[in-house]
Amino acid sequence: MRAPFLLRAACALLLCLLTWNAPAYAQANPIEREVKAAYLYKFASFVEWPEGSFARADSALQIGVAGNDALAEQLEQMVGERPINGHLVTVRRVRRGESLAGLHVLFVGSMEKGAMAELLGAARGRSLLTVSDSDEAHLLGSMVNLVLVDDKLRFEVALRPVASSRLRISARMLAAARKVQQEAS
Amino acid sequence: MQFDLFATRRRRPQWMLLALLGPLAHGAQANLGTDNFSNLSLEELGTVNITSASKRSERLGDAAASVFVIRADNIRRSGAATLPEALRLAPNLQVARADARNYAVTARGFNNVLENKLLVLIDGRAVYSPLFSGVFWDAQDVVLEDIERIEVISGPGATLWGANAVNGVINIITRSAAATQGGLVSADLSRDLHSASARFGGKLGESAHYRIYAKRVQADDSERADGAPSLTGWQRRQAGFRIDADAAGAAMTLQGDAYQGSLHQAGTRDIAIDGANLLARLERTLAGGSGLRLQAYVDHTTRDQPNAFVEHINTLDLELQHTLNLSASQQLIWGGGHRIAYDRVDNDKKFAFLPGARDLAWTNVFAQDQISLTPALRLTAGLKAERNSYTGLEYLPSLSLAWQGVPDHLVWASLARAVRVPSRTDRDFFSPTNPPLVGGVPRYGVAGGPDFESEVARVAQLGLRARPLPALSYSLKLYYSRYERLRTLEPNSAGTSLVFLNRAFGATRGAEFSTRWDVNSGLRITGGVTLQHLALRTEPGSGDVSGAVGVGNNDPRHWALLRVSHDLSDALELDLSWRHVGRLPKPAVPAYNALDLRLGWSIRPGLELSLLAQNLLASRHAEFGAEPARSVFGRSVLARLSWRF
Repeated sequence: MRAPFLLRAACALLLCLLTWNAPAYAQANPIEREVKAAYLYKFASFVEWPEGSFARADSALQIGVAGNDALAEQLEQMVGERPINGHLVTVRRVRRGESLAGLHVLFVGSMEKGAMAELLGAARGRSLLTVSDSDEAHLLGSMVNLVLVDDKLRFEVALRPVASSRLRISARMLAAARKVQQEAS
Repeated sequence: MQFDLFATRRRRPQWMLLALLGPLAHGAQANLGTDNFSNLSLEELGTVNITSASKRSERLGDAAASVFVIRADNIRRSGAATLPEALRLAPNLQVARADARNYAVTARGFNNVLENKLLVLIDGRAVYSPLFSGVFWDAQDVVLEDIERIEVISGPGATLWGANAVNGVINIITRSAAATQGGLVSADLSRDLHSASARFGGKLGESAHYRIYAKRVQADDSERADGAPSLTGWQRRQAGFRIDADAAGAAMTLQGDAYQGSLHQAGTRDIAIDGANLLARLERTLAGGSGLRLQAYVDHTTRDQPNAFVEHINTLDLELQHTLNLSASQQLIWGGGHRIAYDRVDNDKKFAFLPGARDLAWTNVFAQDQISLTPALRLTAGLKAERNSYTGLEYLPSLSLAWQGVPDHLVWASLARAVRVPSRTDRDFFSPTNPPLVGGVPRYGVAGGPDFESEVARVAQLGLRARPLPALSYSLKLYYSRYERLRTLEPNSAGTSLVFLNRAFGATRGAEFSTRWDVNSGLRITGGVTLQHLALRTEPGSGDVSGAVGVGNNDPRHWALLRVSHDLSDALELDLSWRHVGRLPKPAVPAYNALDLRLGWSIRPGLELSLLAQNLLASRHAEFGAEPARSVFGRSVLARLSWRF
């Protein structure tokens, strides 16, 4: 038939590739990034926002990401493919000084402490689920914190900032948390 | 000749499914990665070993393919009322409306209402007629609000998608049932189009969801350039369901649709169409992040076209795909598929498909390997071998290299070979049905194409995807394609009849650019420009008449699209859409500009009213076909009310 040369070349190449075991290149730990993105998605499905948080029943659920562009990109890849409770998800990169209006979830990544305090301060009192991946941010008032435990990514929840946000976090999510810090503490 | 009758012919089944599998050539696998994790429960996520690196990750920007994704929100804000209208959102597609129900849709040239080098899938089911290798757009529909995304690949996708994915693949993907819970009622009203759809979704036990829908659309005849009505109005009713269930690491989908319609046709009673399909899919995530996908469907269509034919096709299709992470730097996808189409044509007088009944089969196996040569350089090589009933085995290889040495920038290059295998039209088309006998030998006007072979494309592409600023991204693709054995319609050796042969060849080259700028959270600008040049020639000695009878191509040299989406307030949206399409050479259609304006008002949560004013710039414009019979389209207003509960 046609293309015997092309075919043979392609087969040979394929064979070469299959038998070649290239070294594993760590690329800024993609798994961690993927799991973080998956957590953010999941969290949003276990949270109830107060009435009026969505302009329409099908308005987009906005996830803001500060201080981690790679994570934002990872999330963008999932956007649209997996609506959360009927809401399509949009991702917004949040930079210092920008308004948090319209956001439903905010991820606070790595940044200097002043910026972090500013950001979490601006989020306080809003119906905005704040998620971080550092103890520093958790101390500064993030609601959910992702922690690395034995090579696994787990999460902790602090209920005090949740209380003033009018958000409701489902019991199922709390049950899966590694630690839940009660309001009183 | 009889060919204009083709313009009103339609039907479906066929091709590859891999589609759903994972979106695009490469983008597909990319998503497989994240999808696997997002399928996990919170508890399961906490058990993933972060550094085991058993999974491959690829960001969308890494995808080495010319993919444009139309999102649900883009469709809603475009105000598109039908599927082909929604396709106008992809800047890498040529979409030309021929009349009330016929569209010429392609990528990379060769446009025609009988366009035959594009593969179209709805939820993994090919909606592509083996009769002419094209799509009967007047028989395809979904509830537009239930679309999750439409992936548009321009260029070849044959290694994953199979023969006929020559110039592009359109992959229409609806949301899972879990994402369409609750009720939706939506109605469109304009002078020419009335449409109503209703959908309801609910839960089936703990881990399964369902939705059911019904839809009815009625479109009036369009207006011809000479002012007479073009008798191409239509009405269609459709209903269907989808069930999605999660169980023990596997996702199951069962879905089906049934439709019935009647389409106006000049001088006869209406064309009657009906069809039904049922599809089941199982996706399983295996240890180590590997994945398995199994899909099967059955599809039935009938088209009763007076003065032409009555066609019944029953199609059975089975697909399997296995994704394997061989090592941290290597991923293999392999699989196969088999499809059978039982085609039954009752021929009329003017032309015939002989034999009237024919069983067609396509069988394929494929493998594609993706390997990271260095952290920044990735090579993908794949091959599909596909057997079809007409030409036997066809080989569809591809090779691509992607380099990501600079953050947020991806440069890629690819080589691929794709073929369009013969359709029934190419091989079995005879006219008239009962030819006069001359010396005991039937003298056909057109006597099939017994020697017609597959059309072949060899394509080289170079692409850049970049996000120079967080809010600004763009994609640029350059391509060069060589075509061989393109279809011509030639006098046979005796000079008594015309037959289909492969006596044309040529090259196309072009550039596709698209960009997106999120000015701020309430203002988004997207746009795209495509330039293309087709140089097609017939071989010496060819007596091709197909151009003259309207089965040749008719393509603009350039077109452009610009959209501005602005949220005026929490409740008000303003959308502006402008497009320019260059002139078509033969038959000549002048270049045109079209401006659409949409105002969306969210009256209260769940209730939305929108007004779409179309074609504001000119009182009327034509998009395809020859005067005076071609349709023209003028200013119109479409109102849409949608209520979710």
